[in-house]
Amino acid sequence: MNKKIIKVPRLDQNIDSFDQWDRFISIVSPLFDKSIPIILDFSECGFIGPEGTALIAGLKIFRNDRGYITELDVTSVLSSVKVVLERSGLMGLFFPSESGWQPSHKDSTLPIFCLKSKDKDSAIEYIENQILIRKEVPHMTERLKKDIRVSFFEIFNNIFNHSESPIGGVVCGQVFPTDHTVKIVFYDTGIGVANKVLNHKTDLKSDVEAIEWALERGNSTLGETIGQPRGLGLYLIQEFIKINTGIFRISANSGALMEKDGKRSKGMLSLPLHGTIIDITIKTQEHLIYGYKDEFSYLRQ
Amino acid sequence: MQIYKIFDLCGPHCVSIEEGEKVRKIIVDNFNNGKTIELDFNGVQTLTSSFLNSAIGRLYGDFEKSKIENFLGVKGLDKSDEALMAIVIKNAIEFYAKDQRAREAARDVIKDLKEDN
Repeated sequence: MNKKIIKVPRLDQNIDSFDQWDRFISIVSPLFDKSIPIILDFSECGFIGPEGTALIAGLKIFRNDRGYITELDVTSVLSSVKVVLERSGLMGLFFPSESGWQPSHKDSTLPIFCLKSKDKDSAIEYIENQILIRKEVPHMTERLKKDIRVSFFEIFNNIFNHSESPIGGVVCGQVFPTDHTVKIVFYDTGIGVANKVLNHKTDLKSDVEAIEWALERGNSTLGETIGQPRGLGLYLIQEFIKINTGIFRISANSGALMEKDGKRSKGMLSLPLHGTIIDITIKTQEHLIYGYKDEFSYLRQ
Repeated sequence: MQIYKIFDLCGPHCVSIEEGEKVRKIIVDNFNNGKTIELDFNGVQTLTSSFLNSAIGRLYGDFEKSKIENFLGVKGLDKSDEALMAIVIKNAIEFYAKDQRAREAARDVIKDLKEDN
């Protein structure tokens, strides 16, 4: 059977430019439902950040579950990128039986964690061992560790209560010791936040509007359906990231939104993303943490 | 007054709707028997909105605010969890007020339709 070669584009670590992200999604997203065998060629990929890693991992798992062949041409991978793919565990996903290509736990990469089900204990183990007590992670206060745990579970709950993702969720990330930041990326291959909202709120006009609706306090498609209060998780994460002066980004279906430095930027993707990807960049400097200790924004109601 | 230790019921990480539901059932059973209870959160490290919506927020759909305030005590929350609890309660009160208004509006529409026929 013919195999289709897909050239994976470069995706830098801190993508302030929307175009690079848009291009990456335009190439990767349409591959999810194509039954034809594909080979991922990394010869044009000079760098891949955790968002790209999460997306490729989700693609591989999604296609595997459907019996579609997805290969990685290891000869096409630049040595610097190969290191990243090894450390994140992406290489291990493509070559599970090859020893030496398992994720590393001794560097600044937060390895891929596949959440197949609502397994709280595995999630806690990942948060504690891979994020909070890594020696590469700058010292964090107990308060910040708690906020990271809570944020992780708010997104975790969002994936399992709303996304209808057939593969569950994929988590990975990166520590930036010199910048004193930690980036955590969550990806699910479900219906997508925007589609989910638009199915429920017919007065909204676009995927970006739908994402904005989902981020507001008290808004939840599930809450209105089952007649129970919901709709705080994403709102609370945003509030935490604002106070932390970090970055919150969400892309779902054709909508993308970023909150940074108190400003919200929005964009429409050229081709829809398969599912939802949320990434949070958290600052770990202690003076920032002390800054919000007594002024938690939930109180500013 | 009976005290329930949340740590013993759900462990140090209280994160899911299901865990919250377990706590809500205990509260409802006690309320229905006219008993006052206290929830002790000492030892709990992680609390999410899903857990609290389920355990506490939903009570506002079943009981009057005054009944909840008089029959339910809470202790052992740190500052941020107290703030989270406050926002969950505020959200629930708003949700059920809106829900009530929607039910009344639906009742009016049905009444009008019946009168027209």
